[in-house]
Amino acid sequence: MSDWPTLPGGSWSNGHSHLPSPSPEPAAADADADADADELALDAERADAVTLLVRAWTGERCAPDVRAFEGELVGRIMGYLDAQAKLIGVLKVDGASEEDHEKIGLVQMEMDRVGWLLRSYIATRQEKLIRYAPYINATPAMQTRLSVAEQTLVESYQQIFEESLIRDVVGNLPEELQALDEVLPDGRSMVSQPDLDKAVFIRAKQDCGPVLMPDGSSLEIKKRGIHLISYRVVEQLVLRGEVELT
Amino acid sequence: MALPANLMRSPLPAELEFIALQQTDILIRPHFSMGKIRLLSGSYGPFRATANIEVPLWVGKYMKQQGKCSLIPPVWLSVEWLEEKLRQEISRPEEFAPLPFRFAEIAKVFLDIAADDVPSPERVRSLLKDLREVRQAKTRKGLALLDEMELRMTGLGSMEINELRPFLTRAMGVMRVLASEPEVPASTADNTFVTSMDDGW
Amino acid sequence: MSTDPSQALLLECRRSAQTVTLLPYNAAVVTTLIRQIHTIHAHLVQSLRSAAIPGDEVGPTPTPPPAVMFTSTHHHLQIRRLKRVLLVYHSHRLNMLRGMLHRAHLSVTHLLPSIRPLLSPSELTFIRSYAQISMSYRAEFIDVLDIAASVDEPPKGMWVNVRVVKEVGEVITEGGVVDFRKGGRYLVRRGDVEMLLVQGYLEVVD
Repeated sequence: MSDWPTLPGGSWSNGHSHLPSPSPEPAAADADADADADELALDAERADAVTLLVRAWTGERCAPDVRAFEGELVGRIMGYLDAQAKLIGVLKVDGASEEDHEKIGLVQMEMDRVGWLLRSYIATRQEKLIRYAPYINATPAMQTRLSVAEQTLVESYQQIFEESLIRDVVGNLPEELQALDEVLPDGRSMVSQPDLDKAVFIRAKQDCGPVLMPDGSSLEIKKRGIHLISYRVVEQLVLRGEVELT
Repeated sequence: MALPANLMRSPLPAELEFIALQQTDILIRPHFSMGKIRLLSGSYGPFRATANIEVPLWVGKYMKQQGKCSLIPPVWLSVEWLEEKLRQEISRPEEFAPLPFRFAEIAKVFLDIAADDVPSPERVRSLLKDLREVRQAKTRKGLALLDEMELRMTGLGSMEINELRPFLTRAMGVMRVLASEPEVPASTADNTFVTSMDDGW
Repeated sequence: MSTDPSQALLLECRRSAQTVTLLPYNAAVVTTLIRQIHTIHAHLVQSLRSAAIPGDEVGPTPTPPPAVMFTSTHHHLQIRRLKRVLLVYHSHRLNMLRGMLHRAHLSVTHLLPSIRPLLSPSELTFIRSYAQISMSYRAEFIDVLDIAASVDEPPKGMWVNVRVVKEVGEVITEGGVVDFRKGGRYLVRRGDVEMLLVQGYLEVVD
């Protein structure tokens, strides 16, 4: 297993974030570990990372479009998982006490949980990336939300998808009927796009300023308020963290 | 694995329970002693027998299932508190009584695995059921106010929202199409040419 | 023609979606529809050409007579509908195939034997290429996390402590490879070791 922090981290970057920071010293799960201030700060960061991942997961599941990839966070979580896995390996080899078994059990369960959450986050994105591949590839603003690896995935997918449709369908049609990106007169497009007007549930973290509705009226969103509302109307509030998708 | 289509539409109840287990801290009373343990979500311990200590709900659930601790129910998971909320729910027809956002998930975990730690669990169960029914009736009335733009649902819990999600997102989508100008039908975005067979977003 | 062949394809899509099964590639109907499109298209081109002949070349795009307009619009709509049916049918199948490959943990060798006779040649190429691009994407994570593992349900936390009674060796579990050595103690998912417990290789420790 390679050491996480030395991995080429470029693919985690979506153009804004940096390499994952080095993973914490794998000195955990030891009752005698010094509970000094540094360690408390580290704990705070750790708690934060899982909470941020829960938030990223919820956001990705509830938003109709693809959100910016949380590259830095994913890198950090991967680093933690790797460090914990190594630590468990060491404890098992060294022969563990009854208490160690108890702790290893909890650490393993947590890795299992966080691993699932991360996989589910990645899978949610993957499904959207593939569904909207032609749209994403034609929309530079969407591409900046993807990791390098995701961009490669989307490009390759559009290629193999269209190759298949060309061979089985449009390649056998008269030349002027071969397009795969027509827009019909009724506004429907052959290229699937996320429906930004889709209604979503939001929960306000704070009082928000009046929100402009499509009909020109304005809506007051109060702290803890829950609303079913068009994603497009609240997208900026979501991005600023004033409301959360739920 | 790319996410299966049914999960793309809405989180599963099991997934919401997972999030509640992850994000909720509770008090437990350990029946054992153990040093401090550092997890991704924070440091916990040292654990001493009979000294209450705060841990994530999933840790409490795991220890409880192993017979290593009792769970201390949150203050709101009690007959008195729930009776008060039920009274409020009935006397104020215009709003939902404020319950914890993940009350349904948390209550389910407690009643599933630690009913012996909850005083009068049967009464608690039936109060939760009554609350649910009153709130559902309110929701049905509230739906009359649904238009193509917005619906205020403040006070609903995460599980209640999830139950309404498939119907409401679809209904609002239909209303949006009806409200749009007939000559220029709205680009019903994801209901597009190629994917129309899929049950879209 | 008594029944519309394009309806047959849509019906197949619906049935396949409801039962989550892949039906055999319907090459016959696909070919029929493609031929229909060619025929209609030829009519369309011809009627437009014949309408264009009397028009003097100087005038700016003469409006064809109403009868021609009507027929050509009708042809246009027919072509569009048939093309749409073909694209819906084929994309539905590619989506089904993707899902099946993910359920087979991205292993084409596992998946193919059972479904190969159902595929068109280009679908076979597609699923092989899709496995390849998914594997490269998976490689981004694989040293720490296998994203090919199922995400259908969150972990339930049914774990058991086991002791190894008889030497087992390496076993592939959902969480990775576990080397069960005699006398060793391991915390594992119940579902991963059910058989080993039944067969007496492992015992539950309390």
